[in-house]
Amino acid sequence: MKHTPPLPAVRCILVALDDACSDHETMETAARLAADLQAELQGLYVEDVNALRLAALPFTQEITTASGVARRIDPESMERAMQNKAAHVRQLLERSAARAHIRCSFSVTRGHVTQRALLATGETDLVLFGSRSHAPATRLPAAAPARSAVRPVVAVLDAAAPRIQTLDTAVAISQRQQRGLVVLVRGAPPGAVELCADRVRDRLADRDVNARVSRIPIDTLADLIRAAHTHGAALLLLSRTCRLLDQTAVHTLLENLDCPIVLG
Amino acid sequence: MELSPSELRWRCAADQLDFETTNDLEELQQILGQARALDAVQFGISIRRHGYNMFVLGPPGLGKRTTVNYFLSDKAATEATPDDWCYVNNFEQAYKPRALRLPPGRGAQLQRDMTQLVDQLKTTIPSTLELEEHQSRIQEVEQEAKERHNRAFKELADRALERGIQLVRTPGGYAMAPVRNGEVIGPEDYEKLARGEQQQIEEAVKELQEELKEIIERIPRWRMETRDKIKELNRQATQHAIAHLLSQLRADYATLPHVLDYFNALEKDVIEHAEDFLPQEETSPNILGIPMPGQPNFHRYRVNLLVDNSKSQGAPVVSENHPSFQNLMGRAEHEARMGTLVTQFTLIKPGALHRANGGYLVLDALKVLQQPFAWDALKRALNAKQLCIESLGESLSLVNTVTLEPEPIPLDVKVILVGDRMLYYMLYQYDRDFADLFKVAADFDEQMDRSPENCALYARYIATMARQEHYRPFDRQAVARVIEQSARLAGNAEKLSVSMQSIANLLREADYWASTDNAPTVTARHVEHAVAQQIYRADRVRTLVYEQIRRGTVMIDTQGARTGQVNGLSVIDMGNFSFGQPSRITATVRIGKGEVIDIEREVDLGGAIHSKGVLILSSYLATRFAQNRPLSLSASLVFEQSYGRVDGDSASVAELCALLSALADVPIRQTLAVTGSVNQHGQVQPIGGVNDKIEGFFDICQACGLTGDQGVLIPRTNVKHLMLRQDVVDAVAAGRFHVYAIETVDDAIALLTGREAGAPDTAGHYPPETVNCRVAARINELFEIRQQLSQQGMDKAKS
Repeated sequence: MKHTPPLPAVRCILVALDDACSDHETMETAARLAADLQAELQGLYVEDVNALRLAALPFTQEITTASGVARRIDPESMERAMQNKAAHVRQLLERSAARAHIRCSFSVTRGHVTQRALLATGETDLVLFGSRSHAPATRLPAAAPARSAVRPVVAVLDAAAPRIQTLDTAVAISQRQQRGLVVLVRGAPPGAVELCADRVRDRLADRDVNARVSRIPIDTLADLIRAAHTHGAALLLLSRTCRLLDQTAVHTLLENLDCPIVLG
Repeated sequence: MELSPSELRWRCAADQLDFETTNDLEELQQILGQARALDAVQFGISIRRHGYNMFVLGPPGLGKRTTVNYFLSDKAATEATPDDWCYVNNFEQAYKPRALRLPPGRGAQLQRDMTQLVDQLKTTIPSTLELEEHQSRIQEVEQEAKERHNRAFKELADRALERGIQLVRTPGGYAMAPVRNGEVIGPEDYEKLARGEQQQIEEAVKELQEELKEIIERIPRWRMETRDKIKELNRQATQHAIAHLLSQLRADYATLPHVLDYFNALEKDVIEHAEDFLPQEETSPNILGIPMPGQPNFHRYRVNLLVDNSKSQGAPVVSENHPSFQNLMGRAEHEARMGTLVTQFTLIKPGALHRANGGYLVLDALKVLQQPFAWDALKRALNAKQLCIESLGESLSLVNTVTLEPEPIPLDVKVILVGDRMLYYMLYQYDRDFADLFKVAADFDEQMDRSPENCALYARYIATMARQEHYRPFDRQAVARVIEQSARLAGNAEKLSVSMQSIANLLREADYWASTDNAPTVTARHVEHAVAQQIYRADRVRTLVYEQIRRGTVMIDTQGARTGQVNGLSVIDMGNFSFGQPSRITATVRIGKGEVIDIEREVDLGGAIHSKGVLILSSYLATRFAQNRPLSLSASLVFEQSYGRVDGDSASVAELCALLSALADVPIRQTLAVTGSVNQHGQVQPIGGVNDKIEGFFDICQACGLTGDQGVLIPRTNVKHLMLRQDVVDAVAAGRFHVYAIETVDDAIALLTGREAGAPDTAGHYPPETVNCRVAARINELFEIRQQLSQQGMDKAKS
């Protein structure tokens, strides 16, 4: 008989926010994830140092997305704009948290968003990066309510050091969001992969989740991106110990995927 | 000539009625005494042509409405039931709702069908749009759009990187900046670069910024394209989903092309607004439970069933008791929403004309005319043959809010106005549209001839009423008394009143008095008691007036003789009751220039007809007594102790007699009163209210004591109108009171003075000591005095 296991011990979820990823959809995704896992939400808005630096250059201009107009920027106005943005993002996050009936906190720092978020992984259980799509975040009015439930949660496990916590978190998200689950087991040697996949299957056997375990070779980031595209990931869940990951890798994944990424 | 008792009242001989009680009589199936009006009503109802609306005229109480309703109910029942009318939304111009005409009963069906359709759409459309296949297609489009965006920026970012420039996101958009090792160069490092390199960077940034601008400028177009694609997908899916729902409806209403047109428009609108049918977010904005504008509005798919004839049989007969503009023409109501008055087609309410369309509308003419704008609106509708719902407040600028212009509805109605004669003639005279729109006049008579046949019909009418209203049967003596009272109401012994309201009241009350006696039948005594009680209830004012006379406060002599003073008679009409009142009329004469001064006129208390009567006196005097010389007198006439308006010429005989008495210095018997009008030749003409006048003087004389000398002079031509009370007739029969019929002023003078009036011989001379001789002598004397005075004046002027 299948059953719903107890929730994994996720007490805090950090959502990494910056100018590229601070829209309503990201807030809602984070709030829902926190609500599903009964965790507290922690917003971290990172003021991009590159943006601050370029404002000091004498020739740079900002092209606004709202109007397409180019305007001269300076460090003061950039800082002011970032402060305003941070305040706005905080409001969005608190509103989403209130709707989801979860607790939330918010802090602002300066640097690179991936770097700052990865630094915080030790102090939090999960780190969420929202989609960094360039497409406007506003919803198309004529669209029916999106039923992205058809898109699965994709979890990637290293066969060499599979984190059961990551798998359990993926299962919990899939169950609560009524999504399918795809578990990609990667690594070497093939025997270890096979063994890991079997263990995963065994663990999922009595879970009430529509799961599929796949052994595919994922040796590079490009392989990972391709696999995520192939499965149409609604959410990509990676172990923080995944050997593919570093600051540049997360940035690359975010630039090439249009789904949120969770490091657990 | 003194009248005999038999001439004073017509008696309906009960033994001429061939039944014992009204139970023996058949019910009357016709309207009494209104042959001309009935023909007109039947014609007016039957003819179905433009402008052949009807005005039913006549005084109140003749049964005009009852008659019209009687004929209408018969006629309407045989006619076709008119169609239903609905207002539906005009999806292209919401402020101009469309009118739909459907066979009787189909309007309600359409209303139910549309409610059901919307309920079905609320489940069908969401389930269709949420189908996995459809969602996948939507996501494909969205994904494609997203990819197009991302690709454009990524390609730009890649091109930039090749030139050492990075695309950086800022709080407001994007910027381009030079990078080294993945980091944007700071200003200090930038300053250290060679000028050439700086120029190269700046040019690259400039070029890339232009490309960036182009991409950003393309974003709205991409979004629009994506939205259009999604809309088209939704449209196709919705069209497919609702096709089978509408196909059944289209089959059901296949014979009604305008309904099919509506379905087509509706289908288009549903497809356009498919997302309205999707489940709404729980956080839909509302204040105190009131949805805010922009929320889905399914009201627009409702059907406002304006006229529902599903339960009707035949043509409608509508009677509107409060024919205000809106009650006649219909209205578009408003509802307050967030402090604003708004309206929509579901708030359109029908008027009486809508309900009567295809049938008949009965209205009280006076009420229509009393209601502001109602008459004009009614005429407009009849002229245009269509019903337009207009906002009165809007057209008068009383309210300034959104209003509707509903599609006009063709109007085919026969309007029947009921009103009095004056109203009809005034409208005919002063309203130029009236004659065109109300071509049929049904003029109801107040009386009919008192023939034996009509008396028999009257008896059957009484029988019919008694049966229908569950009265006791009337015995034939009672019926005879009712018929006599009818003649009295007609004010004419040769006529019978057809004021059915008065007769019905009498029958009802006679039945009541019979019930207090526990009598099985209504008898003559009950009828007489009912009449007496009617008078008793209404005669408070008469009692007061007579009391004033009896006490001498109002001075009326009923004994002795006075020169230049006569008892005239007038009628006071209280509406439901009238009575005669004696008035003292006096005349004084002196030398003058031939004028007879009407003191009532001098103080604006005399009406035009009264003044005319007084002027006729001057003419009579001059013609009869001063044909060849100036009339050298000045006379004054006055109604003593009269403080209200005096009108009519029924006192002109009395006034002339008072004048002649004053001229002849011959006293007039105060035991007599006189009524009648006179012409220039001294002939006495008929007057109205003769019965009331005689009875009025009789009552005063009786109160002061009947001496046997008292009586009333009436015009001979009024004898046929006599229907006096029985006590008056009895007094005359006993010789205690007299009624004289006169034809000329000389008749009146002879009776009033007890002297011969005197007829002139061929030379124009009157017999000595006759009244006219004395009058002629006095006038001659006044002439001579005036001549002398005139001569003396001339002599004085010469000297």
